[in-house]
Amino acid sequence: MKPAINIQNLSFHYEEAHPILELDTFEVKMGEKVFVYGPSGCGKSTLLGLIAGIFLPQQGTLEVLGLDFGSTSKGKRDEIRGKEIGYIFQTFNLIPYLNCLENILLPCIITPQKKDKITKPLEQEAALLADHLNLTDVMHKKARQLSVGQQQRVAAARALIGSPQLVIADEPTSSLDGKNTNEFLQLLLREWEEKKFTLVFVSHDERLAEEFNRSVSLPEMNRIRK
Amino acid sequence: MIVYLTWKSVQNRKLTSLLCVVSIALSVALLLGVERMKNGARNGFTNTISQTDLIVGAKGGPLQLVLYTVFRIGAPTNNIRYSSYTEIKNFPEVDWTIPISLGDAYRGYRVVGTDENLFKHYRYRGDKGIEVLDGQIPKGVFDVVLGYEVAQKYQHKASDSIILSHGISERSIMEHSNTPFKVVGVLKPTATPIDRSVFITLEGMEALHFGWEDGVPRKEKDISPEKLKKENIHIGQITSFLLKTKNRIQTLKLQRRIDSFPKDPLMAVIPGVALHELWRTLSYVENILYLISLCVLAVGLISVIISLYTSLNERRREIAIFRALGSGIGKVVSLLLFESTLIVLTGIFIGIILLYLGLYFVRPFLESNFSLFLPIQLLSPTEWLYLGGILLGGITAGLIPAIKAYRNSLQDGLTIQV
Repeated sequence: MKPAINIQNLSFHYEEAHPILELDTFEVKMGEKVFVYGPSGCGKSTLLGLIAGIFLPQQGTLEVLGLDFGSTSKGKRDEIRGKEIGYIFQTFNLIPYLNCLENILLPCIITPQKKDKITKPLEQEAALLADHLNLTDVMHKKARQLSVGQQQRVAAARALIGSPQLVIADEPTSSLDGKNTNEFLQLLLREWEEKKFTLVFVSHDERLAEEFNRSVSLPEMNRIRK
Repeated sequence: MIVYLTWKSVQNRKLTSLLCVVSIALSVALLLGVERMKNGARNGFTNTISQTDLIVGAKGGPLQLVLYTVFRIGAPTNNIRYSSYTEIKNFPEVDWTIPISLGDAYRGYRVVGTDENLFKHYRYRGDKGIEVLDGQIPKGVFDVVLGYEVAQKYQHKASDSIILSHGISERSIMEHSNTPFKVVGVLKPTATPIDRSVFITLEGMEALHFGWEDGVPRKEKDISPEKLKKENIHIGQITSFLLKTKNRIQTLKLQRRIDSFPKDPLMAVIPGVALHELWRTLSYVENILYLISLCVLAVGLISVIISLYTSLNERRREIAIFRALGSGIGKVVSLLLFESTLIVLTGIFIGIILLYLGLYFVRPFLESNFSLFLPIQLLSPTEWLYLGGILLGGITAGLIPAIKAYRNSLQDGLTIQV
């Protein structure tokens, strides 16, 4: 089976004079849950942008879900991201004027291919996820009325709807307090147990690493030092 | 579904979106309103007289002839012989003529000496004729019929007695006080200079000046009643006359014939040509109005740019989310474009409604106070062109923030660096 993420000899820069990222090798197997230690300023956002197919490396191999992104069109990369990659932001990033349900279903609105993947009625699918993530009571509240813990769980539900093969969590707990962090992590990992998607979890909080199969440190991998 | 998102997003920024729509709507209404008034003024102007093929008067400036004959502006320099008039009137190719005799005024309103042909044949705005609102047309020597505005201003009605004054200035010292006239009728409003005129018979015009020599009244005031009988009055001169041919094709030939009339130095002018020439000299006013409304429109479009631009920062997050959820950058840009187009379209639509509402309410006022007749009609091709231009401008205005969003998005990736 091909790896979920396969990066070899990759280098990336926005401006030629300022290389951001140089990695020898970074591999994530299908169904693996990986912790990436990434304090700010180590090229973490860039790495995630690359894996999500937003940026393309200037050099090296970048394969995601068996697809060589270097030779994949932008449209196709957008489609793969929409269909098979779930993304959880540090700052939740819900649409404030949509309600909880609409936020969870947003990927289906934006990417029709995502919608086609879901065999159940959309509402039912969303309700199921909401149930798993303790959101049933707030489904019709506007996003801006939710607590931070609830917001991040909505963001997780949004990333998980339509069963993506790869879920990228970019510092999902750094805006949460200890109790919420714990709750969020447990719920996310429980979903992982059930669905066995590939999970790339980035955080600067090394204490969370023990919950994962494997832990890597981006500052150690990246040959560009700040 | 994109429509739904855009709608939600616009709703989220209700106030700014609403202000944008309102400013577009106002500028659309203003632009179209100015266009309507421009056309209304031009049509009112060129339609002051219709169906008349030639205006004939003493040789001089053609524009002047039209101005004093039709608009009662300026003073005629020379009169023409009444005998020349009757001769031309009887030309076989002539359908009808309307004599015009000028030179006196009633409180600043011009007195027009004419005959029943004016009431029978004069046409304006296509085929509208002069109608009497109250009373009858002047028949007797001292009968006078007032234009609508004159009657309104001085609250005259039939059987009032009025004194006309000599000359055309408002404060004339010399009054025809020995020949008072009796109001026999008031004309319906026409929104043309007819409303600002006072009509008497040609004989009345002559009778006014009985006993006058060299422009001043003679001392003795008694004029025998016998002399004042209509059939005894001899008409010597008139100022000009309107003429319609039996067949329009004959107009040019007749014009040449009148221009070289041997017994009197006459000149014939085709009114349409002269009016257009006159309007062209006035068109700078039109252009200024047009420029002003373009400026207003520019402000409206700039407000669209500003509103979209200022909301861009708060939308950076939105855009990053859409990107992360699999929407291509093109889709994000088209979302913004769609929104600006929606705002401009709504603005245009409301602007059109405003235009017609405004027309409906302002029309009677403009017609009675400014003699500006604005028909309520469908949008003309020119107006559609304007609207198309506005829409195009709006889309272009929307492009600017969209391009900015595109750049942001390229730079941001999925992390927003606000």
